[in-house]
Amino acid sequence: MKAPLIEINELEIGYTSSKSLIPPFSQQVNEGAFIALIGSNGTGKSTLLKTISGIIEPLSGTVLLNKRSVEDYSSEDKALVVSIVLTDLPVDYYIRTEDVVALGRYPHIGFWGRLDKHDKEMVEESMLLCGISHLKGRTMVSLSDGERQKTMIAKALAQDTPIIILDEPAAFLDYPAKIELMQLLKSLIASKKKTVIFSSHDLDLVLRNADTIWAMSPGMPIISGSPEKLVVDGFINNYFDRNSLTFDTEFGQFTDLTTSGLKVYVSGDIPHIRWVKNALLRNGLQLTAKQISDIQIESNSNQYILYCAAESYFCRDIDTLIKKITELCSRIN
Amino acid sequence: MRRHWGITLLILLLFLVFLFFVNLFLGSVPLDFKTVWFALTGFGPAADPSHVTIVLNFRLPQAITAMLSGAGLAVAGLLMQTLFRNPLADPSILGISSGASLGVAILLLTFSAFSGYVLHTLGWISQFGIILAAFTGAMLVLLLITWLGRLLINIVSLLIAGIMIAYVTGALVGIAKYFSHKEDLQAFVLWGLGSFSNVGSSQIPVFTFATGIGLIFSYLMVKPLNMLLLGESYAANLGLNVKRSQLFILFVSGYLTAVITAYAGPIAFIGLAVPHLARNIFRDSNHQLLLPAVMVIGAGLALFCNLIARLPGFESSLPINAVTSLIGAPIVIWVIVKKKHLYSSEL
Repeated sequence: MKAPLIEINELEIGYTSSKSLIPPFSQQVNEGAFIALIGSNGTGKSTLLKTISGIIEPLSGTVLLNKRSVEDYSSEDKALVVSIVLTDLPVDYYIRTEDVVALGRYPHIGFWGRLDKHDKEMVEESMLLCGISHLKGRTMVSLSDGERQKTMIAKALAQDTPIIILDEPAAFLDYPAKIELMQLLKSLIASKKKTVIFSSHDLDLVLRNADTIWAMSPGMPIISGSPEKLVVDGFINNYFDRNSLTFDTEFGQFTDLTTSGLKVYVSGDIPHIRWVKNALLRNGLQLTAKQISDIQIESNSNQYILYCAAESYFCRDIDTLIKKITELCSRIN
Repeated sequence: MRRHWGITLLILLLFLVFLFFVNLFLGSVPLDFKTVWFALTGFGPAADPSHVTIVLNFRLPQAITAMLSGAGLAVAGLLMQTLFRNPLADPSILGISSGASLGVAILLLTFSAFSGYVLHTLGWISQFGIILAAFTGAMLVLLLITWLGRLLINIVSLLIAGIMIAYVTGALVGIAKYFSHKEDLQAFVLWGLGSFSNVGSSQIPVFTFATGIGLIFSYLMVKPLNMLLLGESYAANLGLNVKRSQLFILFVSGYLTAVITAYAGPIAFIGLAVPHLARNIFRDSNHQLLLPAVMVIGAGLALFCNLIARLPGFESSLPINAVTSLIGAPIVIWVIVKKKHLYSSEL
């Protein structure tokens, strides 16, 4: 068995002269891991990522990259092991995409910053893999947030490090761009043997994509595990509990606990009931088991039968169903 | 895009050469080509010796001083703007030129107070003294700022500290002026207006060497400067020793400002305007290009200002500091107005 690529031992993080943001954290990361770091704002996600990538020093404990403590690396050597993609965007107006990507080659090239043929090929390839070849010659300021994010990932790729760390890479992206980003990172792990750690607020995205989740919560130990394990064991709920919100383990999203709407039981074919549930939750109804429900809905290939009290209604499509439900709600309240 | 670099740079360079020669031809006494040619090379029909003197002892040193000062201040400004990631940063922002003023002011004040002589009547001694005093003052402020830079974690705090130092130095200059003799005060005011004609032909080699060193050292910073465009965290992750590079950039920029201010007096706006001009002409931030570009444009702009300052018709030359401000400020405004189009991406 190969030694882990990243080994975190009893790590405490924070800024100098302050208390650690987390209880001592230990973890091993193997090559090819795809790790998502989740947690509310201010829990220290960025601090943890910056500590692992050696931008800030740990308060105590160690981070070993390739069996060597991150603090023992010279900045030049570290640049060959871990590359970062941050939330702060370059403020410079006129820097060009290919120059940003070429900066990724800087740790590999000489004093004068001249790129040789191999370096130029690496830049080309990184831009191609990230799907931004067509943006060559464009200034950073002229790009959309998604394009800019991809350019920074291409920079990290050109840096050619085994580890890539991304802080909130999906923050400014629209939904398709988020999916694209995840596909890109997964393909890099598969084809380039990268190890990726990223932080995100988007629980849905993380649950669908990451192999491992590290969940952070103020003052609590970091919980690590597969997305599925964290959901099933109720950790997600513990970590994000906000009194009024709870994580619906079955449905995979947060629901509002303050609703006192009708209790509904839904059954039927899979793609349709998922969206029926969505409509119910959106309208403040509760999903429950059949025995205690006020309303039951049966779905059959986009046709629905709704049972309420002794009555039943047939709905031709989902819109009719939603209309019927809101009607029932207003009648009963 | 990239292949136009060379061509545009070449055109700018030719324009610089053109301005250089126009500076030799034009002035209160317009000279013809043959005279200038004879003065420079010694070939051709002999020209009026007084005209040869005008070319060799006045116009040539002045043109060389203008060129080097323009190039040096433009580079100093570019370094400051990249270092502080602030488009308003320029060589004077950290009080380095005020430090030079303070040196000169203290010299003028103490000299007359202790020796009883009025300094500016002493000819070359006074000029040498002023250069030395200005350089010392500027370097002391630079050392103070570099020392602060080692203490302060954040580059923005350093910028604020520098601006505060500029205020303090300015206030001290005010006090020194208040206690100065009328004659020395006039000498100080004249120095403050700036001039490219302070460097005599005998001092040109020293001045060229001193600015040349600064310009060469700025070239060593191409890679760090490019990395800093992405911000400190990215630069550190790319293997840059951020703190050391920042201090080095600060020092090179401050040194260039100190040398040039010592010889030519405070010269406004070239350091601020030229980097903007260069970025706008090339629409690029790569320092491999920007460094030579600002040198050429800065040198050209200084020569142009020098020409305007002594347009035929003016009895004597206008103060260069006023001319650079009059030309530099509109350039900065033009750049800001033009930045509206920045978001139109295609080139």
